[in-house]
Amino acid sequence: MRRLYKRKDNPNELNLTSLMDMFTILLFFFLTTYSFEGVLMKIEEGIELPVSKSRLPVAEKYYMAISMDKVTIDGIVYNSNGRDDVLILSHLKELKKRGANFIIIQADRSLPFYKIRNYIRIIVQAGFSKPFLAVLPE
Amino acid sequence: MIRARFKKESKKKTFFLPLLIPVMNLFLVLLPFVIETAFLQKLTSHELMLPTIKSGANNDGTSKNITLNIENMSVTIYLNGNEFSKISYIDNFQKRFEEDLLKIRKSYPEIVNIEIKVSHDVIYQNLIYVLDVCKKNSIGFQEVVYIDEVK
Repeated sequence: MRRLYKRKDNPNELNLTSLMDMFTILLFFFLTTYSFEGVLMKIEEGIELPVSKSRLPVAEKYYMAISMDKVTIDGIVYNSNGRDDVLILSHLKELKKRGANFIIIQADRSLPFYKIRNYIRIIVQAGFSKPFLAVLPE
Repeated sequence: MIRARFKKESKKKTFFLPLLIPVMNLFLVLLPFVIETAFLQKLTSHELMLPTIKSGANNDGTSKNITLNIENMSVTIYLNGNEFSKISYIDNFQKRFEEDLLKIRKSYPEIVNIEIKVSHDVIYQNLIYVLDVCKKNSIGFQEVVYIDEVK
């Protein structure tokens, strides 16, 4: 009779073994994916980055996302038809004042280069020495 | 009797709580990591060097230089201003391009930088592909310098 009662009590106890197993798996997953180099970056909606073999980590959080019809800097959307170029330049100068060392260009892989070249010029005009092109690691 | 049973049951329920608190704490610690990996991504980059005043001043005609003219359908390699080869993207591009760059690299080991000129209609992915090959360890150009056309 006592044995029966004991068995009844057991299902109410919390089994920590399975939880710890799950945590071990999660921990292993985070340790393998975590890297201390570079910064994590949000890829803007509608942009498919080019794939590359480059292993140079992105070392700056400020980025300019270029797609066919818009340019996004710091969450602010500009028109990419050239009319907003002056605004883009002043925004980049503001970022430079705030301490940005480089600007990362996120551009869609299918864009023709003339779209990107225009913004490389603006980045240089704003006082940045060189642009970095963000890519997806292969 | 009923009171005793109720007391026993309520005791059983509170038994979970102390054990669950550290587990929930652990979950809370892991939560930011989960959100971070869901929305943000670890990206890599290509550094696009721009010509400096110094490099322009050194270009006195005696120094050797390699220039790549990247066009929509092909890449032309210029060695000291003379056309070395023109390789089409559809004609076994990677192998030929790597072979030509290696040939130049072996003949002129003093050249460490490569200059690129990009035509306006080149697809961005093709430019990245060419940069990948130029910076490949076996070829080993240290810097790829982007030269813009005069507006």
